[in-house]
Amino acid sequence: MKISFNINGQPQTVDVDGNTPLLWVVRDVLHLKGTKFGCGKAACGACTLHVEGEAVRSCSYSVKFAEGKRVTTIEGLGTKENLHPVQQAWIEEVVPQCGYCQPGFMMATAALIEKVPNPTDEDIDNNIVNICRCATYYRMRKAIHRAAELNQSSKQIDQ
Amino acid sequence: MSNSKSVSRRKFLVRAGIGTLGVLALGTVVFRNPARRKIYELAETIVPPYSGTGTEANLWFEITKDNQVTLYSPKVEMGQGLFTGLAQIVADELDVDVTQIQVIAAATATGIIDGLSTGGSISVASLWQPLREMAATMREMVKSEAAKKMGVEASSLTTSNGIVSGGGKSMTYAEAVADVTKWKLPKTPALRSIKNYNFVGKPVKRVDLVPKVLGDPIFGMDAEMPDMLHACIVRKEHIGATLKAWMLVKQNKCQAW
Amino acid sequence: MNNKLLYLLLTSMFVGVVLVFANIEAETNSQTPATEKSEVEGAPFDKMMAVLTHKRCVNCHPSSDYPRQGEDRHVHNFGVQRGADNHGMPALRCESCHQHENNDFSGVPGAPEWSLAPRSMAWEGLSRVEIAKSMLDPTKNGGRTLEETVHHLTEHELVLWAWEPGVDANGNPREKPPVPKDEYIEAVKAWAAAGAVIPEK
Repeated sequence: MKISFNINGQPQTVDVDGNTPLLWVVRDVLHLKGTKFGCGKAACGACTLHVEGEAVRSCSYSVKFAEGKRVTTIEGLGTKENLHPVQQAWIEEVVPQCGYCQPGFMMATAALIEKVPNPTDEDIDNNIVNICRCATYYRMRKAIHRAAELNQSSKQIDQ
Repeated sequence: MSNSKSVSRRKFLVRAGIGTLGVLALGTVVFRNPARRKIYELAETIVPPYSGTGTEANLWFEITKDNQVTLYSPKVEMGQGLFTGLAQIVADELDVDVTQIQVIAAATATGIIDGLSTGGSISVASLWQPLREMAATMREMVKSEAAKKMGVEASSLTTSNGIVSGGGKSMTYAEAVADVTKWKLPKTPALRSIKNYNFVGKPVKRVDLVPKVLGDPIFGMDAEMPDMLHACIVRKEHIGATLKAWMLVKQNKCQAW
Repeated sequence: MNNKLLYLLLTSMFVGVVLVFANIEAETNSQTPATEKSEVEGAPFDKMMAVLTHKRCVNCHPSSDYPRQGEDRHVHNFGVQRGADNHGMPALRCESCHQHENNDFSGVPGAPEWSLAPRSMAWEGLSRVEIAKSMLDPTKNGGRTLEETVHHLTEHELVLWAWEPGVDANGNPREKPPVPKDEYIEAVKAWAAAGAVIPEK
């Protein structure tokens, strides 16, 4: 079936089985490989992307649900020249090790700081439950706080 | 092109114009001693067969036109920070800033087959000496070319941050090595004292941070090759189950899995 | 061979090799869902409550802020929580994983309005009489009239999901309530029509 949605600001139409996980469409049809496959059962968060600004685990999200919606992946979060506050904070705190799970974490964090602009440690524990095999959690927590700060100050500049 | 007589356990290869960006490439074949090989066997269970001729470089770096250094690593970055460590080692003898170095995994297609792996905590230890020697040798070669272009004695030149200076003149490494087709390989220069190193032993930000926060790195599962087929392992679901039968099935169209 | 494996195999290869392991066929064939026959005899109230106390209902009517899941009713993995609107935390919504229908590939269940019952509708740990009383108490049931409660019990898609619970992450069908859907709906309506009487125990 034909499914149309907007991905990273670009309109896209794909012709696939509607029950195909959005993750596979993003990776294998649209060739955006930044979103990772981890567990395939919505348990690890490596495949987290945004649908209408909400963090979604795309391995368990049938592409048919994306019809007409706005999808954002790590490739659309920021660019090298214009890093998203989360990416900036991740660099400052030197978070990634192997890096495989990091796009999912960054997408989850980007959603968090939009909804909870100044998250406490408890907010972080309650909302960011992705899994990192390198155990970058300690630096991640620092980076999430830093990302919130950067996000707040960038919004003040915008105003 | 190569002068294997002057170096005991290694051969240096000097190639001009390798790849699309490279203007100078310097490489070495790293021969491992039997003890190291044993560690490899333990670390990897399976010994990687060496399929090369023994003369291809399996470790090399290039100076690119934008005065960056690309280091092709036969060792694998798997989060342990190896590429950063290699960049630190190179930076201190080559006299470039660590941020000028891009470390990438050498492609198997280049013939860099032996030792494309990591394990046993020996990646840095095993490359520590050859990488420093290569970097120091390359630095002297760059200086020597710069000296010719600037019309001064190589010994009067100093190097820093990828720039050769002396006698009131300066040029980038890339400028110094541009258009050079014939290279003279010097004797391996004396290495510097570790306590004079600026990057080794000091905290340095990982060299792979930016690509990793952009989702750029290609992991095994992300690789796409022409006409690539996919396969997966079907594991038996019960202890003691045995293979009863198998059949070939033609499948022309991918469906939702 | 179960369907998921077969799909995986067939669709990821142009030429696939299908392996058949001995002993597996018989095993998977026996996994067909339970019969549609009621396991509960008795009055409409008994049948209704046999369903409402089943894990498919109680897992999302917890007495805490943590949903439960699975046949063993364990606390939902990953520490997911109720959140302000019963749909999860701000960046960890129920909808982050649960969509409008079951996803039988990943084993994540789904239905419209996937969420926890409000705290006032906590059933976990209550007796069937206590649950029934709570259901009829407008201070606890969201201000519903009996008619509205019957509507929730018999027509709400999220409630009726209990009879279409899909498969888990290993492809095994989830357990359904012990009374078939039609029989349950009839029982709820009969109980309500007869005055919604709650027995002593």
